[in-house]
Amino acid sequence: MSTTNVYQTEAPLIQETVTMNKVTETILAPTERLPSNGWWAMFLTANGLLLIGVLSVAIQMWRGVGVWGLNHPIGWAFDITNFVFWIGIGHAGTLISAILFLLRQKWRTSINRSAEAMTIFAVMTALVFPLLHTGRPWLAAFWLLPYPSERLLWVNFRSPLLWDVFAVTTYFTISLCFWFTGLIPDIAAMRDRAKGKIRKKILGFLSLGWSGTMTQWMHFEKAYLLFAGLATPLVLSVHTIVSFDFATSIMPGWHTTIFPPYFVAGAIFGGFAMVMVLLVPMRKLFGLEEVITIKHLEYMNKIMLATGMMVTYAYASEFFMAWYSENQYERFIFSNRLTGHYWWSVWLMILCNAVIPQLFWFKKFRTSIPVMYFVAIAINVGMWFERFNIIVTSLSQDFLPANWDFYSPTKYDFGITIGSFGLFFTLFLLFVRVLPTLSLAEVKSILVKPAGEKHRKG
Amino acid sequence: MLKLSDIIKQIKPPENVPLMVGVFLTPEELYHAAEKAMDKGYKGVDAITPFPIHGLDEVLKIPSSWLPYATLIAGVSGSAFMLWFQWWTSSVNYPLNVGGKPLFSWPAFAPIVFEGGELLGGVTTFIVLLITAYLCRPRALIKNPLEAKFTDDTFALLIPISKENNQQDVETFLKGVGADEIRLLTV
Repeated sequence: MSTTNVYQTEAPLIQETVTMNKVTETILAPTERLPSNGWWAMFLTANGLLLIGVLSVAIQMWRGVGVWGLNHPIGWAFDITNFVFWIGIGHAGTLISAILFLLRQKWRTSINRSAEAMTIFAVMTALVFPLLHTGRPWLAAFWLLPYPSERLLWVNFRSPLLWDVFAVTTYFTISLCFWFTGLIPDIAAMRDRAKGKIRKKILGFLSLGWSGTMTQWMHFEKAYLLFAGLATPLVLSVHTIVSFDFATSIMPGWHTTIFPPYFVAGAIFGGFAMVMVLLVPMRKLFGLEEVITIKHLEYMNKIMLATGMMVTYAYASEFFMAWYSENQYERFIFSNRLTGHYWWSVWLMILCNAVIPQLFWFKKFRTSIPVMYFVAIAINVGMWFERFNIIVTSLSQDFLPANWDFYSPTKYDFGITIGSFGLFFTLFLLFVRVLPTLSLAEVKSILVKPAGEKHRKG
Repeated sequence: MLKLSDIIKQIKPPENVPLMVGVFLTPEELYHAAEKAMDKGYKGVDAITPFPIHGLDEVLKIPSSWLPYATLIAGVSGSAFMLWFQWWTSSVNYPLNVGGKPLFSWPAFAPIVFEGGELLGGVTTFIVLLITAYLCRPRALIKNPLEAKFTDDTFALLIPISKENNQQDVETFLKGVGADEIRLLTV
């Protein structure tokens, strides 16, 4: 093995002064001390948001699903918007952990762990919505699980909604296996440093007896590569299948073949923006600036710019096809989106997703933390409204004018939406306190000089 | 090519023999020491490292993992099962005309065939990893045989003491390749 990397022409990702021991200390420190005031402030805020959601759900269960603003013809609105939004958020995590791994992008090592955790929490948050949409889930249990086959009738495997059930649950399971596999060696590192007896026992149990022998690493790396290979088509398929929920129907504005790539690009776009929203405070709060550098953030901004352009192209293509198709219903829906009842939300989406990310063409903005944070939040808002527009504008004014009606959300709709953010942030804040937020082994393996006498302490 | 004996070896837990541990401070030193140990013809040599060192498994001649085969078989079985199941439910067990589509409308079954393969393949990969990497063994759950620095920034070469690997000989060898510290680990 040679110590000089002949392929490395750019400046190193992580400064040469960062040693292996420093990586361990920096990443594990937050899990080994009491939480700071900054963490408590964020945690209590997230708890507050979650409480709003819990109260809204409690009232919804007490009074019934009628407290939501749903009515004919809009039987889907905030709940499915939130579902698609949160499933989409998860995609960035899998893209970072699987696709960038297969493409040998070394910069992913600093962000993959937290992005994968984000994926899992986002999918968990998303799964709350179909459950709530059943109204009183404990009553739904008897017609959903276990599948009641006393009528001897099977589910319809031709239904996109059923594909969705399989896609989302598989996605969650595989992401969880992938994430936990990567965690095993790092939990072992925590176990070896643990002071308390109970802490040692819990971490010893979770690390499954990892000792770091080359034999173990060989199997581990093989499994990791296989997971990356499995997760790559999976990440592309999940939002494809979610988009089938719409694309296979005959609704104008939904019935289009561009939906699968359009949804996947949008999911990665919005997901990266959410990673940014989480990482910027995290690296500041835990002093991770040396391992999550501006360079890492800049690379993420470039991906946001690229996927943002794809999404913009998809918008343009949708409008063009509506005009070019000569289909009066398609033409009506798309002109109605720009000038109709929901014009403000469509223009907000275009502003947030197509215009604001163009700032990232300039290196000055790409490397400025306030600017990238602003853009990331704008993209999240834009992506939320993208789903809202697709769902609500098409449903509100379809083929028959007699069938038209508008949707206005109630405070309970807003309540569960706010609550979903609370749930997501609460889970993420707990994660950063108890588990290593970066992959120790992977970061160590990309250090300029993984070891060397002069970099060792003492 | 993977041999059956390797598969059996990867399932059977390693024997508990005394190990001679040579401690190294850099991956380069460990790598060169491992090369020399293999040249000397020691059997069953392994290493402990805080991160995977690429190529070291080949130097140590660790037989490659049978994990990919397990994943492939499980993935194909998962897909095949879901294809069969969808065919059986919709054309044999309860044939039902849905929108005039054929009973076995395979293009509509493709997404679930794919997901079935993914799910079984992925879960199998995880379970087989636990087996091949000797994880989840009750005795191993207690603690690492070595201390914290070996999951932090220190490297170790492990040479089992056996008939082929004489203790005195191994100790002189490790001294010769510049081990920072040498110790005997009895399990």
